[in-house]
Amino acid sequence: MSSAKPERSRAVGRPIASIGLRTRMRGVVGPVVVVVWLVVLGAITAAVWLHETGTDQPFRQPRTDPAAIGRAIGQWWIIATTVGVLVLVPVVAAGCIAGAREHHSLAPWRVSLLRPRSIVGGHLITCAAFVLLLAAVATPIAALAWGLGGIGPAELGAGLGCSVLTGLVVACVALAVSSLTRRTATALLCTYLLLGLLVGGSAVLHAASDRSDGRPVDAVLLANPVVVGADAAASTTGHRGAPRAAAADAPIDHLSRLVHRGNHAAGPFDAAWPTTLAAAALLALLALLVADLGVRRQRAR
Amino acid sequence: MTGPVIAGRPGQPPRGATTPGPVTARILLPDQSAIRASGLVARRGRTTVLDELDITVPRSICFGLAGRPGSGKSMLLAAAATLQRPSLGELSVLGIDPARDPLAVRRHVGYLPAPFGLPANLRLDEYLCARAAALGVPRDRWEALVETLLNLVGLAGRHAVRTERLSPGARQLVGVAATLVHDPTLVLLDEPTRGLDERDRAKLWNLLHRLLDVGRTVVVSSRHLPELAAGCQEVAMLDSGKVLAQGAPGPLVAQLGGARRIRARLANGAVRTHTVADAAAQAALLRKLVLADVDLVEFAEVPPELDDLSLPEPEPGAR
Repeated sequence: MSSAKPERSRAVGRPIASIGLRTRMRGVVGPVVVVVWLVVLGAITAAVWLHETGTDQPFRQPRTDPAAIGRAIGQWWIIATTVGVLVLVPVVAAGCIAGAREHHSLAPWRVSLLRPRSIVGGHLITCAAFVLLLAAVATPIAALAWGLGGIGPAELGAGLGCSVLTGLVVACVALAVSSLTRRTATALLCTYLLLGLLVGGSAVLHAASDRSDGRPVDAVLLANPVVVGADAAASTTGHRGAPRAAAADAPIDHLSRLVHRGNHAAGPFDAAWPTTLAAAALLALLALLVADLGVRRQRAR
Repeated sequence: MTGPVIAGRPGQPPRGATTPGPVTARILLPDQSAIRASGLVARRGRTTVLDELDITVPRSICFGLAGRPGSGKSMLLAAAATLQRPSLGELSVLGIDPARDPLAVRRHVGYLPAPFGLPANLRLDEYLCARAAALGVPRDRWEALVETLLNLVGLAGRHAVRTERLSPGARQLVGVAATLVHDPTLVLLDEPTRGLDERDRAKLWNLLHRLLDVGRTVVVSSRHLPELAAGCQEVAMLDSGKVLAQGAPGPLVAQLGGARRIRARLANGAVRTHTVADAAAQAALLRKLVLADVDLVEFAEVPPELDDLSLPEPEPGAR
């Protein structure tokens, strides 16, 4: 009876991913999140457009150069996408394991041929699909920016790629938290707290840090996913490829200058984001291990 | 199951022996029990839920686990289903040690936990197919399997119904169907009739007896002794993580000395319940009712609930 090898290859992760995708996309949460995401992106684009072309500020001439407008829209789009995945991915990921535990639907999977890591992997596939959906929904805005000019596909692609990777890391962290909590709401709150510490904490540390020359330690900002996304996008143009007119207040150009202060000649190979990417990969791996242990922790009443 | 295994090779000395000794052969007979536990201890935090529990569940019968909440029924089933690793003691499920080879156990055991939940926004056939995939059932068998299982639990033709639109009873029945996707030898059902109405209960017990007809072993836990007494060939009474008594339901109840409850239904539809001490008192009650010219249409003994039995008090500090 016990001599036959279980047919694991058939089972790895697929049932969980298939159920996760169907459950998320057929429910209310998935479509609502996508609609909200579209509305927010549209609103940001409209606001940037009005700001760039309007005369709402004194001592400032409205821009008429489409390239400058396109660059501003593109860069705000990259930042919005990164912030968007930071906010929206936990909504889906935090409920994956904690939600199944809360609704008493986890135990049957634990007594199947699926390993705990297959269960976590299945949920990760669900989250990855959601991240890609968010990226796909955001793509038309990027096309608009590219069409206006001032920002190239490499810069947009690097920004989007960084956002997607950020989304995956956030999903891993949220799954780890989800596997350790009993309630979805607790998992969501704890994930937001962790991300808040990462994003807000790095900004606070940056502001509080003080070097001997009186300037803050800018490397602290590399723990911030938004800054890392900006750095990755800017690295494609060597941190100096921005049109002169846009360089004054386009957000990524500003953040990139902040990270590479004192090194204005930094080129693509001097970018700091690969270090952060390696650290994020380690964090994601650690989070997945925690999630695996958390799923194993499933106990009977 | 595997046949007898002969350990040791004739003609060869045991490993480590310095001089040739007599040929030693040990015949390991296959374990004829579905579940065998010996000195089983399982803890939840600091609470000891199973306290050196000894139990043997024979094969091919419907076995009931009765007990109050917290008596250890669910923990025993979870341990047998490989969901809970015991702290101490020996456990064998269909002759396999779940701690050593949990996957082998899972391939032959179907488990319905309590409480049981279904993911929302999912069609019934999608859920059953996913469970089949997770239990290694080949894909070409899924369609027929879903058809058979839904027929079996009385939900034929409801493939496309979403899980959140099912009644609690129907959800429970889907849960039972899902435990059968890989045609398990041993079916462990933790309080399967919880939340079911009379009709669904009857449907479920009918299904369980059909499983017995094809040689499966069914272990059912419940807080309601009459239900187990009516449906199971053997019942074990658990309290504080120990087996208080085990055997056929009728003698078991007699052994535990519960008072007899008699239901008398009158011609006008009224139902009276009487409690009597023994058979003599029961006969006396019947005589009294007949002599009083009561229009009796039914005079039946009702199996006692757990609270009616004189269960021994758990030892202080046992939990």
